[in-house]
Formats: sequence, structure tokens, C-alpha cells
Amino acid sequence: MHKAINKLAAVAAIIVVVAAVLVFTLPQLQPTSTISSTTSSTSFTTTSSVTTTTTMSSTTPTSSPPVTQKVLRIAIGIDADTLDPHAQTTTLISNIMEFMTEPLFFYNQKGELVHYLAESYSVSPDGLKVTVTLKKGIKFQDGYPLNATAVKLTFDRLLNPKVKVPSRYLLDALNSTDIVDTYTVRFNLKYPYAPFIRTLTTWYIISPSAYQKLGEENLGKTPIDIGTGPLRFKEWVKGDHITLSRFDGYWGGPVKFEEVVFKIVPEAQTREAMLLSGEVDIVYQPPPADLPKLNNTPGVKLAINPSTRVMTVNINTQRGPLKDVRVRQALNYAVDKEALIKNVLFNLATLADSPVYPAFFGYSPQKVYEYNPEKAKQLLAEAGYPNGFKVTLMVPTGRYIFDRQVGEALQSYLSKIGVTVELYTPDWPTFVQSLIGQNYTSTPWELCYVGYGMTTPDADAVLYSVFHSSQWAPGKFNTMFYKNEEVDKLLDDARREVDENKRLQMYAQAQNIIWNECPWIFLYFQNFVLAHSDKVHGLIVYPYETFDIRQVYVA
Amino acid sequence: MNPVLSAPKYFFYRLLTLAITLFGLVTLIFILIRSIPGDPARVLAGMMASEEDVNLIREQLGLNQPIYIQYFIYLKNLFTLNLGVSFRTDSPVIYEIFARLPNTLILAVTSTCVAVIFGVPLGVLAASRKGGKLDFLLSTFSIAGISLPIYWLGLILILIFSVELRLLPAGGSGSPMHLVLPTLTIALYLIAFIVKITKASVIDSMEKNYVITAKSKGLSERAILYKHVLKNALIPVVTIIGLQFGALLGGAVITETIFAWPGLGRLIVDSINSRDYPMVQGSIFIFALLYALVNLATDILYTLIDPRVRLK
Repeated sequence: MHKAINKLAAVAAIIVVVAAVLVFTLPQLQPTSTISSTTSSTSFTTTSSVTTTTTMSSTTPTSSPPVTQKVLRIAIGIDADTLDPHAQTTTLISNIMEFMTEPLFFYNQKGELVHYLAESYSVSPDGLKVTVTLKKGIKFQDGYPLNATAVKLTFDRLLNPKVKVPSRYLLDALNSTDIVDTYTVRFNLKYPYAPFIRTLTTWYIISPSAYQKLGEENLGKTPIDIGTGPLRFKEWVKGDHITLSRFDGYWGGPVKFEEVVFKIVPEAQTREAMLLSGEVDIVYQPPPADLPKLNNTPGVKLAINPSTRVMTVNINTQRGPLKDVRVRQALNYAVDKEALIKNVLFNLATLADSPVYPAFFGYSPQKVYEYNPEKAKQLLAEAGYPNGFKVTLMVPTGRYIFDRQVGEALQSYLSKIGVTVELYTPDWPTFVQSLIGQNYTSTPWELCYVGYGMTTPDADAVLYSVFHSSQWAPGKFNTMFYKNEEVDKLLDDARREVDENKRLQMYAQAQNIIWNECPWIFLYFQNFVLAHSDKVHGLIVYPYETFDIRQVYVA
Repeated sequence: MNPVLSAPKYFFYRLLTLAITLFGLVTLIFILIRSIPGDPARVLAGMMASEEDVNLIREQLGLNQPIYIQYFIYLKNLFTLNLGVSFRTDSPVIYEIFARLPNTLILAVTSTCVAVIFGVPLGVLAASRKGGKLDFLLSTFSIAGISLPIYWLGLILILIFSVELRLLPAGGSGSPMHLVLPTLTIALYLIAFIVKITKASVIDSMEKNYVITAKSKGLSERAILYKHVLKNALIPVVTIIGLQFGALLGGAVITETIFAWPGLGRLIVDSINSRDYPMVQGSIFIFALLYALVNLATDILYTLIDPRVRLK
């Protein structure tokens, strides 16, 4: 009697079956959602070769209380584009790569340089040859010994123009790498470049044998056993998770968990919920507005640390009223930085007294421009703009902590001294294009709120690439189009100077000039926030917006 | 059945219009994605990369070629079903899509099934109790369901079922449990929608002349409803379900984002944000293809429900 309905039901059933068949037969894809579920009950106790996605979620509540949790679960906001250790563009994925592959030098919690795979180094008197001796007895995950060959192979790859290396600009000074003996390599520089040793924190040394086995095309997809790090690559399900497993032969001693799973959870609210529900142990950048609440949540701990990311407002110094240094100083006096940090950023920032991060080599503190709108107005009047002027402020959205709100606060501060600000909030690729793809006449902004995260603990990293006049955009980083010949000379000389005391003096002088000339509205260093369960111990956070899980255990 | 006879012609006609539509769409996407500002080579190279490296990448991506050459290469590749290689990941676009497609299909199928199972009967119920308390309750529910923002609903469900009750995982994939909350979020919206449409459609059919005839024949309300009305009333419902299901195949961006569900929607949005041209073009092409096929299937469904609808 219900013929039509029966038919409808039949067709619906067919669609479902076809869809299901399609799902299960599509090439190489494990249907993540369903198949692993059927194996979950059995895979729980078996070895780690089975997909672990379900094991993780069932570990906490059911098993008899273990001394330490076997799987460490971390919620992160973005997926990797590639797992090539040299092709990273984000701090986060680069951080994850560092658990697999390690650099010659690294930094400590203060941000200072420490030796890592390197035992010692020396620089020739002319500053053109840097010799690095490696620690002995270190093995890669595939058993290959750490030696000069591995280091040379790594740096040869980095210099190969066919290989995508986004941070290659840091290697501009490097000409070639020589093997001196089994444990010694020599870097030959094109010109004396004093910060060179500090740039070596960026480059992860890879195993020649693992690299050869994988080939160039698979290195970014399945980086199996390529490094000396405590964790080896296990699995990457795109858009879902990245799993690393323990390397028992790690030279620094094996980690205290069997696996770490980085779960990709784009929504910060969900990351927070997963921490509260016990689905993950550590959360990368929880929603800033919830931090006061999280701070009072039992079982949750916050790790809030200053980072090297300096937040500024770039001023196009070649345009209209902004050419006048008094106007730029006025802008600095007009903004109440301390109130901004307290009220808009929930204290998630540290006031900057230099463009250089305090722990960096060459840092020299300056006198912060106090909040003084009267003085600002006076300076504007002296410069011939008693009634202010109109500018466009470009602000990214969702890139930095409360970026849009900061933009609005800046707008209101500047309006108080008569400067009318129009906000321009493009999406990220447009932002980048508008920031560094333009010359000084074509920027669609006069002011731009932006942050520079520096990976090299040396004043040169920020000062040279941002304030030297040879670095004018387009394509380079002096997007204020700032030019001061004295600063140029100091920065050039400081790069080539081998004597560290002299370098310090030069950088102090350069910072002083830059600070007085105000190509930026100097603001603050953004803080870096992790939230974790109070069962997590041994988490280390570095000021580079990075963290270390080598000592972590969950109990 | 009669319509089967005209099927080959019909299919040819449908396929032809499909091809033309896809061609237009493919061209449109090609132009649109390139007309938003932002340089993919720069995004890819990283903000600090040197201009030389950016140029090198531009060359590797073929973006240094004149735009019409890029277009022809793109079309040529499409004919051989080669969707190209993702700028971001260096993997073939088709592989990236197929890695997400099962997740999207599962979510679309489960939420549509749940929605149909609950939505249609509830809609019929509301219609048969028109003006009653149950109808009022269902109407309220359906208005609420349609107007609640998915983002809000999703977070509330997470708060209740994950954080407070700890019954279901808040995010991720890997077990059927992970599927429950995203399914529920989409299904609640769909149920509300289907209830509303079904009810309106049933009530509409109830007023038709043949119902009056049936009544005068002395048939019971029940018999009229199930034997005569439902057949006719279901056609708009099937249309709506088909359209909604088709839309879900493109990925439910908000739901996928909230529940960290690795589906197509997030892939498309991420690709747009990084100006990954091949990825955007490829995934929208596949999505359009699926959508068109679902539409075709819906049209065929009509004829099964109501033989008066001929394939034309």
C-alpha cells in the first residue's frame, strides 16, 4: 500500500549503501572515522603499529592508574603544509619538527644561545670561516652516526635553489660547507657575518641515509627517521593529527611517554573544551578572552611566557605628515601602551623598551615614550599639523592576540590628538601583499599593526632586516621605508665586526637613533600562552613561541 | 516503467548541460580566485623570504606565465582529469581531496539520514495535528532550529556533552563517537528545516481536490494521508533534502571547524586563505560535480515517487 514510500526508502537505502561502499573503497584512505573504531577495543593493549586515534581517547578513564600516561595529547590550531624540516613557515610546525630533527645550536629558556649537536665552535680572525665541532656518539634515528657528512649534506640542501627553503635569507652569507674531519665542519662565508652562529638555531640536521631512502619528494610527506631528536615520525593524517613515537636511542635520554599526538583543532574554543573534557593534555594558544576563567579552573594550568614577537605599528616614513620625525614621535606619545596591554590584551604582552628582545645579543634598553597626549598635540602643532590629518591603519584579523581590538584602540587613541584613522582589515595573504609587496608610494596604508617573531637571538636579525635602507620593500622588510645613513653604517659594520664588545656598542647606538626617529609606534612583546592539565609536568616554554616536551610526563 | 525508454536521450541531454555548467564554473573559479589580492608565491615562501626565493617559487608554480597560458594548461589538464598539484603541500590535488572526501561523505550521509528519519515523520505529524499542541511545539522547535547559529549550537553541545557530561569527544575524528556531535549539530538544523517543509507541503496537498473526492468517498483521514497525500507531498521534501545533501557534500565549514572534523569544507577555506589556486579550483570542481550528480539522482527519485513526473 505504501508503494511510493517503500520505493523512496529503497532508493535512500541504495544511496547510503553506495556512499558507504564508495567511502570504504576509495584508494589508500583509511576511513578514519569508522574502521579504527571496530579495532579500538582490541588495539588498546596491542603494539603501536595499529592506528592510535582511538586508543588515545580511551586511555585516561579506563586503564588502571599507570605511573605515567603513555600517550601525550596536544591540541594545536593548524595543520602542517609539509613535514620537510627545512620548508617550515610557521613557528608551530617548526617547533614540532624540532622534536624529530635537531639543530647545531639552540636556545635556553631565557632565549640565550646554547650548544646542541655542536660541541664547540671558532671563528677565524677575518670572520670568514666558522668551524664547528660536533658532539660525538650521537646517532640518528635510523642508526646513522652524526658526523660532518650529515651537516654538509644538510647545508648543501639548504643552499640548493631548487629546494623550497623559506628562511633561506638567513643563510645569505653562507657560501659553502667543507668537511674538515669526521666531527668537524667549516662554514665558508661570503662576507664576515657575526650573527652566523646564532642563525644555526634554525637549521635541523638530517640523516644522509634516511634522506637518500626517502628521496626529495617524500621528505615532506613521511619524514621517517630523519633526525637525531627524541621522537620519530609515525603518522600524519591530514587535517586530523600528527603522531610521533619515542626514539629509545635518543642521546639526551628517551622521553617518558610512548607517543605524542598533535591533534589539529582549528577552533580555539574547541581546544579549550578538549582540555576541560580531558581529551588532550596540552592546548596551544587557548582563546585569550577565556584565560582569566581558565586560571581559576581546577585541574588547569596556564603557561604564560613573554615571546620575542615584537608588536609595532609600522609608519610609512616617506608619506605626507609622517615624513616629519616630530609627527612620528607624537604618535608614540599618543598611545597609552600600558593601558593597551592591561585592558585590551588582558596583560598578554610585555612593554617593549627596544625593538630588540631583551635576551638577544645586542639589546640596549631605551626610554619608553610615556602616554602624553598633550605633548603629542604640541609636537603635531610644531610640525604644522595642529588639526591633525587622516591616515589608514592596516590590521590583520585573527593573526595576533586581539589584533582587531588593538586596531580599534589605536584608532581611538590617535583620534584624541586629532589624527583620524581609518581601519583596513584584509585577510592574511592580502595583508602580506599590502605590507611587503608595495613601494612607498603604493602602500594602501600609512600605518600598519604587525608583529615580527625573530628566530635568531641577535640584534642583527631584527635591526638589519627591518631598519636598514637596503631592505626597503617591495620584497624586503623595511616596510617603513626608513632610511638613516648612520644607522645603515652601524648595522653594516656590526655585521662584519668580530669583536663582540664593539658590536654591542654599535647596536646600542643604532637602537638609540632608531628609537628617537620613531619609524615605529613601539608597543610590546606579545606573550605566548599554553594551557595544560595540572597532571602535565616538565613542560618547558621558550621565548620563541616554542615549547619542549623532552622532559614532559603526565601523572 | 515508461520513462526508462527516453532515458538515453535524457541522460545525454543532462550530461551535456552538466558539461557546459562545469566549464562555466571552472572558468569562473579560475578568474575569481586570481582576482582576490595576495600572492601565492609570497604566502608560500613565507613572509621573511627574499624576493629571489619568491620569484623562484613563482616560476616553479608556473605563475610567471601569461594568464591565458595558465588557463589553457589548466583546461588541458582538466580534460585528462588532472587537477594539478597543491601549491601548499606539493601533493596531487586529487589525493588531498580524496583524503577528506570520506569524512565529508560520512558526515553528510549520517546527518541527512538522521534528519530524514526524524524530520519527515515529525512534519507529517505536525500537519495531521494542525493547530494542536504538538504542532505548536514542533513549529517552535523548527523555528528555533533554523534560526540558531550553527557555531553557537555546536559550542553549546560541546559544553553539555563533552565538558559537563564527558560523554562525547569535543573534537577530532577516529571513532563513531566523534561523529555524534557534528552529526547532531547539522541534523538539528536539517530536521527543523524538513519538519517545516513537510508540514507545509502536506497541508497544501490536503486541500487539493482529490482529497475532497477521497473524503466524499468516505475514506478515513488516515488512509487519505498515507495513500494519497503523502506521495504528492513528498516531492518538494525530496527536492529540499537533495539540495541540502548536495550542499553538505561541499563540506560543512563551520561544523567541521568547531568539531575539528577533517572534511572538505575546511580544506577549501584553508586553501583560499593560502591562495592555493589548484586546490581551490580542484575542490570546487569536485564539489560541483558531486552536487550536479546528486541533483540528477534527485530528479530520478521524483519519477520513482510519482510516475507522472516524466524525464524530460
